Amino acid sequence: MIRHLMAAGAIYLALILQPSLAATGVLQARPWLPGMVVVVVAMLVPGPAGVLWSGVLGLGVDGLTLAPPGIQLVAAVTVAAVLRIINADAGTPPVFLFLLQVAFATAVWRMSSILLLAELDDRDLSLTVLSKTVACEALTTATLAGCLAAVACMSSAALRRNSGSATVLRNEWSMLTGR
Amino acid sequence: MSSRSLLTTCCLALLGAALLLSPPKLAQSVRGAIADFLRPGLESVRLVRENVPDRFHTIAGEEPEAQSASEPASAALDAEKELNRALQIRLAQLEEKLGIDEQTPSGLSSSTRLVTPSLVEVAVLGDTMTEHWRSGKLIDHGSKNGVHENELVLSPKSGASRLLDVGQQFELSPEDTLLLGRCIIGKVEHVGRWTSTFHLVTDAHYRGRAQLIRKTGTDRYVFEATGILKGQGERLCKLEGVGAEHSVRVHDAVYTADRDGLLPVPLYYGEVVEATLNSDDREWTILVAPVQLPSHLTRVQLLRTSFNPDRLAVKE
Repeated sequence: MIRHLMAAGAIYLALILQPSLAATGVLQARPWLPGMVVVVVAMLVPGPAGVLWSGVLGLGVDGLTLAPPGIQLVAAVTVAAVLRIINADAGTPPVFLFLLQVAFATAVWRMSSILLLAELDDRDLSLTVLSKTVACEALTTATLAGCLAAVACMSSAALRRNSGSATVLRNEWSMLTGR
Repeated sequence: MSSRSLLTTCCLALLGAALLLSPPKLAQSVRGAIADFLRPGLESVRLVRENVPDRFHTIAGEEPEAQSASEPASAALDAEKELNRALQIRLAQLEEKLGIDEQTPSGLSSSTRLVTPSLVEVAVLGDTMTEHWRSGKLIDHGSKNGVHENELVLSPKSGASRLLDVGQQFELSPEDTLLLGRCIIGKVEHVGRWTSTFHLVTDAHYRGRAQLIRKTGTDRYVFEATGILKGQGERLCKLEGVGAEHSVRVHDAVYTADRDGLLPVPLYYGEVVEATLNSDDREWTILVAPVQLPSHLTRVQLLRTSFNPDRLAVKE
């Protein structure tokens, strides 16, 4: 249950923060939070429920953009399915693999949705420019994910240290008082 | 991947495809429901942004709608620029061949007239973007704060008109000319706050002064009769007002007839493809084929007029 709540929270947070995210100097690329969250959701929620949460995320992104709804949903579900195949037998992936997956998910999601949108809108796209932009977005997202992972690691380490000393104190207190 | 996960994936992909093919009303209501659900969070973020303006504004990016729409547009920009450059080179060669430059002593920049023309490159909004802009989805909370687009631009009457992504901030005015290279393709109809509508030369409402130019002998061109070029809502336009006393031939070039003398060179409309004069007619019936537009019109040039700042400056 907690995992589902965490997934829902991460999705909502990503959706409300994405519009306000900063653009970096490189090709105006900016982190694509849904690309990061779809990987997190795939890790947090196993089975079909994870795919369902990814669909919710895609639908939310559809609500934020002007493109016809459905494009982002299809892209998100496709990415989630691919991630599920990649992580079929593995548990929680190491940090490097996680970052690689974030970059991969962002690139696939953005590329597929933009190409689909261009096709629907009858626009000619320069694939070179598009791939450069998407690659920059993927790198930016992976970098942000790396920073967040580092913060999360440090926080959990600090938490473990604190809880460890608290346990020792409690044990000493029990020994002294017999309670 | 388990069979249940696969089934869920397929169901969701089908749902996405169904949404994609759904009628616009359903799509709008879905988007509205999602936006309503996200609104509290988005409002909270907006409040934080407003309370921490200085720090946030330096790192804040565009709105997601604009980003999503601008990415395909920016990717298409390179290809359009390339095409534009090729057209301009070709047109410059033609212009040189025609020798029209020799008749014009000064360029645009060196003009000392009170009102001077200037070119600005603008984007034409795609069909989807235009529809969303007109339905008010692009500005979802602006109207509450008095921020709204000109009614004339959004009105259903102008629903057939396409939109440019520039408005009053670019000092546009109705009747400003729309160019593709050096060829006229239309003019501005209504100017809104951020967007403007325009007529193509072939649209039924289009009217513009035009003159015929004919090649005589070896590389010599003469100005012929002037008239009013009218769009007919079809592929061909009609040139009216050319009296029976003039001589008109098929393949005569049709250029602008600028009464204000603002432009150093006439701009090209197209060529005469049919010219008939019956025995009891007082005017020619002339059909003009305007320049062929690319299949996807995304970038055009806009010829606007503005006051010459040198002339407006007060001498001390």
